[in-house]
Amino acid sequence: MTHHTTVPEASRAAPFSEAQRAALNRLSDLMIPASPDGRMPAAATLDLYGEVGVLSVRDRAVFEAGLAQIEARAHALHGVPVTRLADAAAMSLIDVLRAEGSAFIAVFTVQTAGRYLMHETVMPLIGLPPRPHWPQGHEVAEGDWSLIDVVRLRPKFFREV
Amino acid sequence: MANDPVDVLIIGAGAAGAAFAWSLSDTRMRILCLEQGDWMHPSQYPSTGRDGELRQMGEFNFNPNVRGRDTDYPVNGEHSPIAIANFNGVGGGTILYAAHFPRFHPSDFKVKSCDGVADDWPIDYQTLEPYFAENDRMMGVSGLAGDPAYPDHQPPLPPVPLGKSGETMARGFNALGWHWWPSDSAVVTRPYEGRDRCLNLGPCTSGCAQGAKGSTDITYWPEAIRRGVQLRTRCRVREITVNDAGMASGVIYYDAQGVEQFQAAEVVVVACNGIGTPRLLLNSTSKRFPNGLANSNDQVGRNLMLHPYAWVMGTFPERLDGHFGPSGCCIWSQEFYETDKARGFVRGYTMEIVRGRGPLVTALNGLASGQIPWGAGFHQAYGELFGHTTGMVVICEDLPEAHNRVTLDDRLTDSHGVPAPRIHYTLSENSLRMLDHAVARSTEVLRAAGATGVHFESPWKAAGWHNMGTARMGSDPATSVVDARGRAHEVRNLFVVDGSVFVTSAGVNPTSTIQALALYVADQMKKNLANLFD
Repeated sequence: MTHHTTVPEASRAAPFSEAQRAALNRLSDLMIPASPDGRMPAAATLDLYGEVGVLSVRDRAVFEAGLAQIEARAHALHGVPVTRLADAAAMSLIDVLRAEGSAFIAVFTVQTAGRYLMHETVMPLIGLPPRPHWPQGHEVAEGDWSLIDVVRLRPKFFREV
Repeated sequence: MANDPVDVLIIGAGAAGAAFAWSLSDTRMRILCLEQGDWMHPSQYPSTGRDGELRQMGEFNFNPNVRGRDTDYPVNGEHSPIAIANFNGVGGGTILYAAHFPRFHPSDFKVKSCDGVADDWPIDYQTLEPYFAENDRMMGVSGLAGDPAYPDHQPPLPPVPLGKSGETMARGFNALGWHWWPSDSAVVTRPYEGRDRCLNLGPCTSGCAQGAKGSTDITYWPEAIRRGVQLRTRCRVREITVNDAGMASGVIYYDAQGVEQFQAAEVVVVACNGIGTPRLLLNSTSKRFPNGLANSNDQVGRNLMLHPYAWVMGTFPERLDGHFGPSGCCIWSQEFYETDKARGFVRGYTMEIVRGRGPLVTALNGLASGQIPWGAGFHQAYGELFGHTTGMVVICEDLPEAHNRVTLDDRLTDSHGVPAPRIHYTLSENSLRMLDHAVARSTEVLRAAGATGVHFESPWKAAGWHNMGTARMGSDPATSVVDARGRAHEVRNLFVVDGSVFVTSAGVNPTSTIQALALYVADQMKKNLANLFD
């Protein structure tokens, strides 16, 4: 019998709710807005959390708790949901959570950066083909092997015992 | 699956267990290997999807506590500045290793004689040399003969490409007159023994979908199985049992359905790495061995060595190779490998050039270090880093200290309720001085190569890949666990063949030496079958 490793993942879990997606898009936009010249898109325009994606069960739980916490704080401090916070107020809230060592901010940062940089729209813009590495692979130049000539002239210098 | 008695039972199908099984498979013995993990499926490795870097940080993470597969066991690392890294599955650590394949130096086996610290090994480089060469052929090692830092040896395949990263760093080393050489790498640069050449997929450290990297699930195991070795996966050994004569009688394990089983064996061989091996021995208590198997002298688990690492990365104005190419293997420098007491420490280190970082790791490192901000400045800062970095990891020799050890956690267990390992580890003054020296010299060569900025992490917290010394080899039964042939002093049919038996750690990656040792122990067993238990 062949067994396959069971990896705890949330890819078959329920998608984020509309409210959660809206909040995640708002936070993503704070982290990665469009570039000033417009060449790089804003993270929010790519709807990075439209799919659950590569998210472990543990990290999904961190997202659920973190989003609930950030909404509660937004309401408590400003009386509005996070999607309606002004940039400065939202960043201030993020900074507070970060200073507290928020697990949500840590996981959100990894997920948002990853989803953005590996998005098929973004990959060509940072100089990468919009595909997996395998099976086509990549070319790497051999480089100038004549550089080693000077090292070849060096006598053996390992320690004899 | 019948548990008929076998002649040789190997626990663990990683680097050492695979080499050992293959070597022994030319005998007529009944050989069985029990592995707690699964066979891997290269078509599912991260490089097969655009989201590979995210998967590398989750289900393919080095850290078993982060990875959290049901085939893993947790490790309590609260009392260590370095987190333990490993992988559990057919291939073991070679699934996620970088495939750096340096050998130990001759002096690494004679540290006490050379420098008056630690101990000498009961064997030497010359003894292992033929096994190094045989292992290079089996794993498919690329490299270049003539390295002045080493005794002569001929890797079977040509070296990995320098690329722009290697070329840039080579110019830096040459400017300072320091040694460098293309890394010996278990990455095939040409089609070899049914494996296709490296396609420069990038991070080798999340499994190689191409099969160019030499992990033992595609090197030793297929041949060993063809020659009659039986390998059972998802079989987690709880303990090794002993009979009234104090000999190992077999093991109790949990099968894939979680059912407790007993497997009898004439010889038991432990190959669970420097953390898993002492864990298993300490969990194997009996009336005869109340403190754990082969542990009457309280040496099992002690002398843990982890290789303190520094990670030093330079930023360059020009665009380099980024993260393409065998990411962990490029060139190395052993300019500061052998002892020079004027440096303020004994022993030394290897600088290993590691090319660039992937898009996500670049972003996360930049965000963590403050080089990349949230918000409006993200894109410009990211653009100045991605594709513009190269650097090195520095791997320092760790000396054995009895207080650095693996014990059993009194609360943490794996999914079968088996006590998990707990790590107690501190960095020595010698290691701290060596790390400081390494960071300074690495910065110097990066600047000489043209780096405009240098960032480092020292010690590198995530870098507990190399777990050694916890069932060490020696001639004195009072201070060691196994003898020069890998046999436990106290249990005449119990052998250990992984990095646990290392007496010292050297300043290089250990896999090549682990496997050479496994081949050597297997060969000794074959030559001494008639009086194996004497």
